[in-house]
This record gives sequence, C-alpha cells and structure tokens, in this order.
Amino acid sequence: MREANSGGQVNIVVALACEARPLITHFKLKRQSAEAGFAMYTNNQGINLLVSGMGNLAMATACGFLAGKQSTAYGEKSAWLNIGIAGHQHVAIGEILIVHKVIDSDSSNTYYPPLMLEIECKTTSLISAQAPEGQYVDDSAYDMEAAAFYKAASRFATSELVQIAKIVSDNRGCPTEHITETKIQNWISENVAVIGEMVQQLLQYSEDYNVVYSLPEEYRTISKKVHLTASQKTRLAGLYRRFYALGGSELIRELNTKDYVSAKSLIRTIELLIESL
Amino acid sequence: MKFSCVYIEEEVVNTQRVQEILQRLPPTPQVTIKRYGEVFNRRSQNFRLQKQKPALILAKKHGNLVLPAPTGYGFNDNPGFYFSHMLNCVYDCRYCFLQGMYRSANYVLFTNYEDFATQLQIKTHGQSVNPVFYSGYDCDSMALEPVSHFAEFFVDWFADNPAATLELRTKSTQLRSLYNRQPVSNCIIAMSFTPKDIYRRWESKVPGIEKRLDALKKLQEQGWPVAIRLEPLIYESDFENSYDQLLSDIFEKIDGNRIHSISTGMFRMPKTFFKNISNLYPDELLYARKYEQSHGMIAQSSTQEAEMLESIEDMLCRYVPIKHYYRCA
Repeated sequence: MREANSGGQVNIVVALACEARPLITHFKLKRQSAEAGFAMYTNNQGINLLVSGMGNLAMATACGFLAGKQSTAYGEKSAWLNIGIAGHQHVAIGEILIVHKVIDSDSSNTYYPPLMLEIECKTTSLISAQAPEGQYVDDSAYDMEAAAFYKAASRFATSELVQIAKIVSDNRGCPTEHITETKIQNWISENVAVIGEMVQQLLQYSEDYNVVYSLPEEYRTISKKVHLTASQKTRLAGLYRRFYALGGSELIRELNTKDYVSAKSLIRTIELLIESL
Repeated sequence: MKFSCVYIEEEVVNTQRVQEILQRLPPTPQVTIKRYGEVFNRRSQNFRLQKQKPALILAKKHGNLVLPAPTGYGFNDNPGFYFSHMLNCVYDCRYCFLQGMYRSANYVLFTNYEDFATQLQIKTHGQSVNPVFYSGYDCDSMALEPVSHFAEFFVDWFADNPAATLELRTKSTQLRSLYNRQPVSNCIIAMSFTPKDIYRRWESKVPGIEKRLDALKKLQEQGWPVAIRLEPLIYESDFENSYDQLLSDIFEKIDGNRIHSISTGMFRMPKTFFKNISNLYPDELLYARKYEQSHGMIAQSSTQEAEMLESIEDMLCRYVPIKHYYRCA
C-alpha cells in the first residue's frame, strides 16, 4: 500500500469478485496477501480495492478492515468509492448512476452523499435492503450494501470523500434472474472509463485534503524522537501548523537537528519561536 | 449559477416560487429532503472541500424570521432587526465568520418570503420609531438575486411600507433588479470594501473593487441611497497607504456628500468560530497570527484597532461629512 502522506488515495470497495476483475485489470492492481478473508488489491498510484462480500455486515466489516490498514496518525484521509450493481425501476440495464441519496430500508436512516464528482451521468436515490428487490416500487435504485458502505466509510473520511456509483443490473423488464457473473463483468468493463474518471477526481480531492491537513514531515520526525502524551501531540501539531502558516518552515527544519530532553522544552521552544515571527 | 445539486424540502417543492427558481437553473440533480438540517447540519462535512462543489438547498424558514440586530450594529439608534433569507454566501472570503458558524458550505435559500414579510409588518407596527431591517448578515443580500429574486420581492414590500427602512448589504454586482426600477428612498444599498491587497488575498470569487464601485456609482446616479462599509478592518503594517488608496478610489466614483452612510467594522469573531476556521484553514496566515481574546471574542490587539480607527477616520474626514460616519460593532 502507498505511503499515506505522499498524496491522494482512493479505496474502492466492491461486493463481488466479478465486479472487481475489470477494475483490477484497468487500474493494474496487484493482489496483496489475503487477511481476514478479504481479497485486497493495490497499485502504486494510490488506488486500493477490496472485495467485501455481499450484504451490510460484510461491507461494514470490509470498510473497517481497510481503514484499519491505513494509518491516519498524521491527519491524512483516503477517498472511498463503492462500485456495484443495483436494480432500478426503469433505468436501462448497464447504465451507470451516481447515488445522491441512500435509504437504509432496515433503519429508515437516510444519507446524502455530496455530489462532488463532475461526471456526465444520471444521479439516483438508492434503497439498501437485506434481500434483492423484485418489485421496484419506488423510482430508486436498489442494492444490498451502499447504506452500510456510506455509514462505515463516513467514519473514516469527511462525507465529500465518500461516493457511490451503481450500474443497473436489473429492472422491471429484466429481473434479477437474468444476472450472471459474465454480464456483471461486462457491465463494469463497459463503464470502466467513467469509473476511472471518478477515481481520478477522488484521488485529487484526497490529495487536496492531505496537502492541507496532513502534518508536515518535520513533525513526524520530531514526534518520533520525543515522547509525547496525547495532549502534547495535539498541542505540538497545532504549533507546527501555525509555524508553517506564519512562514517559519526554515526554522522548523533547524529544530529537528537539535535534541530535546523533554516534550515540554520542545513545545516551549516552538512557542517562543512563534512569538518571534 | 451552477450548483452540484438542488436539495428541496418536501414542504416547499410544489410552491410556485420554488418551481420558478428551478426553471432559472441549468439542469441540476434535484433531491427531495424532509428538512434542510438533514443536509446542512449533518456531521462529517468539510466546509473547505464542499466549497468547491456547493449545493443549493431550497427550504422553508420556521420560527423567528426577523431578529433583533446586535447592539451597535446599525447606522442609527432606531430599533434594528436583521433577517436572513439565505444561509451562507456564494463568495469565499477567508475572513468571514460564516465558515466557522456552519458545518456546511451549501447555500440554504428560504423561499417563504411572504412569512418574512408578515413578520416585518409585525415588527414595524410594534415600534414608535421607524425600525431598520438589515439583510446580509448570514449571506450576501444580492449575490444570488438572478436565482432568488429576493430583492425584487422585498424592495417592493419596503416601497409599500415607508415607515420601515431596509439595508441590503452586499459585495455583488448582480443589481439589475434595482437598476430596472425607480429608486426606493427607504432601501439603502450598502457595499463592503477592503483595500486591494486584502481583496486579492482573501476575497475569492468577489467582483473586483472597480466593478463594485461602478455598480454603486450607477445606483447613486439613479437616486438610490448608497452606503459604504469598510469591513473588516484587518491590520497590515502598510494599512495607511492601502486605505488612502481605497478611499481615493471610492470617492473618485461615489459622491461623498450624497452617501447615506459610511462605517468601519473590525475583524473579530466569537472564539468558537475562530477555532473552527483555524482548524479548517491550518495553512492560513490570517488565523495563525496572534490575537487578543476578551469575553469570548477574538480580536486584533486594541493598539492595532485604535491605530487603524484613528488613521482611517482622519482620512474619511477628507471625503464625507462626519455625520455620515459610524463605527459598526
């Protein structure tokens, strides 16, 4: 997995292996050793893919697993993208949709993923249910994982970085019985360019975020040298950010060449330096 | 104007005003919601990222729609009130307290103008002295006018209710709805200005100073009461030169003897807002500087404030009768 501080990262989470295959090829992803029963793939461009398995529990667990693998100790965040198939009352089979509203049919909780992607495609509301939907009562898409994905991923990233796109696999004219693994693979392949564009935009948003909010290298170095309590870490991180904003990056670099006996003396030194700027 | 999405409260989705607003927009995804808070107040939002792709929320405002203005806010001692038909601003001024007040950068537009008018009426009738109503506290009054037609509605209302005065505070040049009608003497168009260097650094998306002055000049020539708001005053070592230039630019175009009023207001905000914005913009010099804290407010040092006020007030005397000047709290 790529070093988190080096730019943007996107975590793509799919439910099925057949949904993953065209994406693995397109993004030139390499399989990592399997852990906790999850198949995980990455490349050195900041793209990670995890196959969660079907249903809410599998999806939530997968998101938690992936987030746990990625350190956020220095404030960086990955973007998250759920790609998968969904039923829809009337949208054509194979059409890709960005989700603007997710309803968890179990809890009736509603989520609104902010529409951050500039992609020429329709948007839809989506109902996540425990079992496949055959009636298509509402003018919505239907799936089994998106609510769990959104709820879980939003714990690890700001909501702007969490997006969902679904490809229509069944509708009133063509019910779920017609779905095959080959068809799913083909639908994903046909939309892989659009998905690629989504991923690029999310990589950029994640990088924008990390450039601003991840802590500078100098903080990382010094925080390894000096023992810091949790509150001292917060205080020091704030001081480093302030120092940078005030244009004191040269002075910060000099600081790292010195040895500090205690966190208190380090913090006091930086406070005095800030006063002098 | 382009929005990433339009969220519409169920309660207003079928109203004529909402349907008209939707017709003024380019094709945009529309999402029905129960209450605007579901989207606007949710957790896990980043104002800064969201500002790149803001959405419009069309909603109905409930409860107290017209509120007492903070003490010392207004240009006279008459009863002062403010009302906000919008939450958030289409501009992106780094010094603005709204970034620290709201979790969301989306724009909420309250479309029940008639309810606002009813409460304006009640407040007007309850006063022995003519009240002043300020618009532009939680938003820019005019920036969304081509979509909202807010001013079109409310200037009409104030034209019919001369016992009340309206101040429309703005940085916008979207003033066509005002140009296209007869001036209304109890509607004051107040425009905010900062010097060029502050404008360039911290007023993203705001129309240029020159453009704003041209717009204000046109209104003054048409007979509208216009006002200048020098806000916020942000201390810079060369502020005297900057304000000297700004005032010279302003009064080259605006007739100082005919302005309604001119005011100054300091860069200050509640501590909680300041903290929220510092967290949002950890790389921003404006929030890394040293400030003073008193009674829950963050402000520049009293020495800097006094220095700026003294100097700028001296300069102002060259251009406007002093009776037109006030300090805004």
